Amino acid sequence: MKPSEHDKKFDELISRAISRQRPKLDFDKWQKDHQKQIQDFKAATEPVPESVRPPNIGRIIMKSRITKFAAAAAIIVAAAVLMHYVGSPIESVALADVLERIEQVQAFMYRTKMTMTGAMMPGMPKEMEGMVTTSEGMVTVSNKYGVKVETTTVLKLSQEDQKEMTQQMYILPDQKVWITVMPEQKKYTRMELDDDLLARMRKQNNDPREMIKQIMNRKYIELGRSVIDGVEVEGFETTDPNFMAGMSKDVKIRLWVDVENRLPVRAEMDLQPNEQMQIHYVIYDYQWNIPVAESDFEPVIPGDFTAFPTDGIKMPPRTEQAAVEGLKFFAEIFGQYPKKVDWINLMQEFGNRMQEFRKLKDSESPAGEQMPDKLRQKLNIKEGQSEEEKATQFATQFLDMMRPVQSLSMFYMLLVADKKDPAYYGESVGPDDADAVLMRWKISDDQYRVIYGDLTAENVNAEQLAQLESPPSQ
Amino acid sequence: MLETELIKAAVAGDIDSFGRLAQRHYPALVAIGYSVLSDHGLAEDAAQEAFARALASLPSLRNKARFGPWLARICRNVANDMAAARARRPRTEDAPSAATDKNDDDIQAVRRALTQLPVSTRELIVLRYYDGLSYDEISSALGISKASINGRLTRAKRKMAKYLQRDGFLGSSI
Repeated sequence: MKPSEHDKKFDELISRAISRQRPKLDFDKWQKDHQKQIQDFKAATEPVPESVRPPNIGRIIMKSRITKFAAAAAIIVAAAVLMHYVGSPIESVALADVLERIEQVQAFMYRTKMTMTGAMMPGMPKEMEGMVTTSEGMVTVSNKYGVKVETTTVLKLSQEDQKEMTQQMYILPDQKVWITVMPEQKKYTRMELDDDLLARMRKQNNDPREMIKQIMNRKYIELGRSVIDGVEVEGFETTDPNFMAGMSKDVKIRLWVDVENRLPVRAEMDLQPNEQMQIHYVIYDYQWNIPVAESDFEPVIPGDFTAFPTDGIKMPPRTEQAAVEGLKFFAEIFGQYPKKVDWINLMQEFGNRMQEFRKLKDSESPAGEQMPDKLRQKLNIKEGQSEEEKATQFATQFLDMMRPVQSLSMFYMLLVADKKDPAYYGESVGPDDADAVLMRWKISDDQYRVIYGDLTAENVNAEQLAQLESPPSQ
Repeated sequence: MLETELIKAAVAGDIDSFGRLAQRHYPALVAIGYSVLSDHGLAEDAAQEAFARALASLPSLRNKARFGPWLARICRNVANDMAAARARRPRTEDAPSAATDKNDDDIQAVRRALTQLPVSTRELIVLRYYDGLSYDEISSALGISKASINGRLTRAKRKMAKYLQRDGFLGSSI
């Protein structure tokens, strides 16, 4: 169809407003002005002798598999703990009695059992997709002193190939610190907690209240009465995929409450964040109003334990700027944005993409050529180290490398938790879709913040957002 | 010489091939810079700085088929950095261009409408109308199909028209 007279006039008007003569580049002058860059470029493109090529990162990564994944498992466990602190305000009243009862409790304990099945760890090879991670824990919560979590985790690939690790985590609000002790490695690490997270922790008073708030905030059904360990209980169930900041499409959460004292007796969570991964989590053996002392929350760090290289790091920032940095970082490495930004799916995608690099490395030479520079720099693993040293170094560098994407994930989870109507379109929008909405969330009644495919951001009103998110005309 | 051959040679270290590529992509990069900075001189500075940054990363360029969008992205980042730096300094007036001399209401209204557009939409409009890039050149710079450019331009102009109407501009041209 020919453009109408009206369109032509509008085109002419725009041209008159902004047109100018087409610029030409004087490349000779540009070269004179950029001699240093040209020199560096020539040095970088000179052929590199075989003997000084960078080490084959993929091969190093694949060694010491279980040891390495233990560090990744620790990240996931830590993220799972964090999830408790990104909850939402209460709207429903059906479980309000239970919550009110718990609010009066000053200290309590419970036990946990978790089974994770599937390829959930970064860099996990295909043959490890059947790996099962089981974890048993005991959690002590004190309104006054903080939280102590003791866990034993078993990573099991086969009967012969498994590793057990224990871990103690202390969240100490007064000191604004999160301490993790790893006895097998004789290591410990401290993470500084910021005021925002501490405020959330204080406000929400820790698990299991958060779970109740989450259930109350979602669509749920009453399961009626049953008996658990001789106690008459009443059940509540939600299958709302928005549970836990939308980290899992398939969700089933059940909470059983003592009919007599209206306190939780048992909770069960079944999550399937994606097709390859399943999580079954049980919280049981609640003990309410237990006596606790400050010494119960003092970390036990023997004198021969040393600080993990990440000791002293701060919690990744959870700001828009940090989220954009996370997106940028991911795109620089993989050429695309993550498909999803919830923590577990993000971790898994990261792992799968690392796998792709490994496959490319296996099929093409020279080895390591496909590894993006950014990743190679980050994982600058030196040859000549022991397997244990390499594993420790990998874990350290991996944690450091994950910080920007961790910020992205935590920022998004907070938007979900704070009901900011967030949406993320990483499955369909890439770095080259400059004008497409990549992520958005509400900042006021009629205003949204939008991050575009080119990572620029602006505020738009609801109508503009609807236009931006509408499919393009043909 | 074909663009793909030039890119291959440039990645391998041939500075002359890089120069020819830079000359080809310069107008698009200046337009991208202008869409962020609204200043002709700064837009050219941004494009030239983008080439310097591109040269540093060129040996590791993985997807050679997307050389244009890769350059555009670098230029966008440079321009954004410059805009941020400028925002921290006292503002100076843009040098007048041929178009800025025409101080009629229509043109001022269109410019105001342009500033109201989302950055990426404004970029597309500027690419098309700033120095008259063809659909082929825009396609090469943004890595999107010509059909897609047409659709996006249509939407972009529709948005501009809406802004103009909201701005009270009911000129006979639209």
